[in-house]
Amino acid sequence: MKYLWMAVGMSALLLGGSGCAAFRANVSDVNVEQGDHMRAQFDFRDLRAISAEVVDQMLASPFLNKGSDTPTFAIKGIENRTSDYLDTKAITDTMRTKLIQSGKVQFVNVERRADLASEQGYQAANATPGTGAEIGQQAAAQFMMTGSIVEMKQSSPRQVRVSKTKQRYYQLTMEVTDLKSGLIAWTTQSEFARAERQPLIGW
Amino acid sequence: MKKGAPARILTGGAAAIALAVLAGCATQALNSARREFYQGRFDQANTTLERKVPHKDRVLFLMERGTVRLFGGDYENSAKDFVSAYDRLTELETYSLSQGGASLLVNDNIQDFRGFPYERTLLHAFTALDHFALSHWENAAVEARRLIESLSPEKLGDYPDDAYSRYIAGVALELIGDTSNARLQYEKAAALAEHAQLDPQTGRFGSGKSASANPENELICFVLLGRAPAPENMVYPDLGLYAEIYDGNKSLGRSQLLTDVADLASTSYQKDAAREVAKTISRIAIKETISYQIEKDNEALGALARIILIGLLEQPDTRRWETLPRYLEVARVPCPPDLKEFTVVFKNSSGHEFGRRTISTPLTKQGSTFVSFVRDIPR
Repeated sequence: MKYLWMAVGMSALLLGGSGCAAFRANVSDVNVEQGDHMRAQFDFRDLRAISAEVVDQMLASPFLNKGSDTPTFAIKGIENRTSDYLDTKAITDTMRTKLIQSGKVQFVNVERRADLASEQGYQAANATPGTGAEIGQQAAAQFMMTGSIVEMKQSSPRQVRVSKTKQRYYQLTMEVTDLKSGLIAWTTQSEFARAERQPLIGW
Repeated sequence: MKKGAPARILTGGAAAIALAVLAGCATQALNSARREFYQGRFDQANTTLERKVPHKDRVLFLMERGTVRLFGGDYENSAKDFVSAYDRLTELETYSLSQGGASLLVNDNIQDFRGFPYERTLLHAFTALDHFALSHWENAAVEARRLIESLSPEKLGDYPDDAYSRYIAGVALELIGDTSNARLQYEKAAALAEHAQLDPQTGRFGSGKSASANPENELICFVLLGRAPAPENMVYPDLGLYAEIYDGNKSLGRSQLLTDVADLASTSYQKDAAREVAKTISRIAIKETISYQIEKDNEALGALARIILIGLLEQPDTRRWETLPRYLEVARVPCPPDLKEFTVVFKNSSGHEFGRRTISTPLTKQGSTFVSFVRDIPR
């Protein structure tokens, strides 16, 4: 018994002395390009991977490499058809950033149109002649970029077990539609599936 | 039994009583908030529910506060509460051995509240109402998918399905253009609520032409009436409440009952009853054995142990989502394209009016469909 108490005491001393990390608040940077997924749900690593994949495919496609003119796009959003609250705007924001940085595509700012009109109105009323933005000179989009993300799930059936396995499959479809003809000028899909196992019994 | 063990058991019992007293404070807050809610004092009820929440009752608090906020018009925060409740429920899918073991010695109230399956499904149906009110159609569809999953055989087991929740899922999917999946939900709702004369193809009510006609503009109003009785209440007379919808003096139609929560609660309670009885008998046997062991050393201490363990700690778990309405109904009626407000007249089974409300909010529009909801609580 005496030895047991000594062992407990020593352990407590060691824990206290070393300042066991598990008992301390801790903040550290995470490398967004490395690391594992914590759950099967769509996460920031998926957002980065799926956006990069779509952009790479688009930049390599004949659609963007057949003429000398830089096409003008308008992004109209990605439809969330999953059972999770996904920030699909974050996906289009990432794609748009990469595409603009490539220099092969330009975008009209659809989301800030009300702000643009407001600023132009202000300038028309208050700016020094010749310095204000001319009204009616905005570039028109030639193409509309849209998409949808779907999810399918399956889980192990009800049975005697100590853990359950869930699989999630995500598929992102992106389309670029020619606003003049209404034809889909380019499209691609990106997909992935992931499984997670959760204990049914815990402490 | 070694010397000192009875004292340790009694200390444990005293600790359990202390916990029960603390939990009692939380229950008091919940009961106050529920009373305030049914008096139409939504802000007061919300303030009451701002208090610190015991971890085990977190889901129940969020369900109640989400409901208070939903009918008080704070849709954003109501949705946040409901989604947080769902997230917590997902964590609780892992059974806690410590809580399960302790519940065998104390009572079921020390376990985390998860609610019956129908309560977990209605959580999504109510969140969808928040999203409808905010015109967040895609988010409403997210809830529809979660709702459908909660009604899957793996999750539902042999607990009862719910026509109203199926219908909400159908509407949410229809409003984002997913008509084929919407139809599947309408079909299931129609099969569950045959009396409602629901056309599974269109989601409209009535027989023949009226159900299949495609009005230029229509109003879908979810009508929530009455107060759900306690599940252990085996006798709950049918009050036959419904609502008539008016645009000015013109009657647009009436609501149709899809789900009586009393039925869901009673059926679910009966399903669990046998298991609960077996568990209670086992628990009392364990407590009696402990008391007997103590009694062998010290008669007075044994009697005290029996009073604490069986007399004081043996309490049934009666926690439930009490702000739930009883009748979950839907009115889907043609309406003018410029609908700004409408009047809901609440009636009982004999057609006698017992209240009316003019609704201008929530009233949102997606395409040619107006969506709203109303509950017969004084405002």
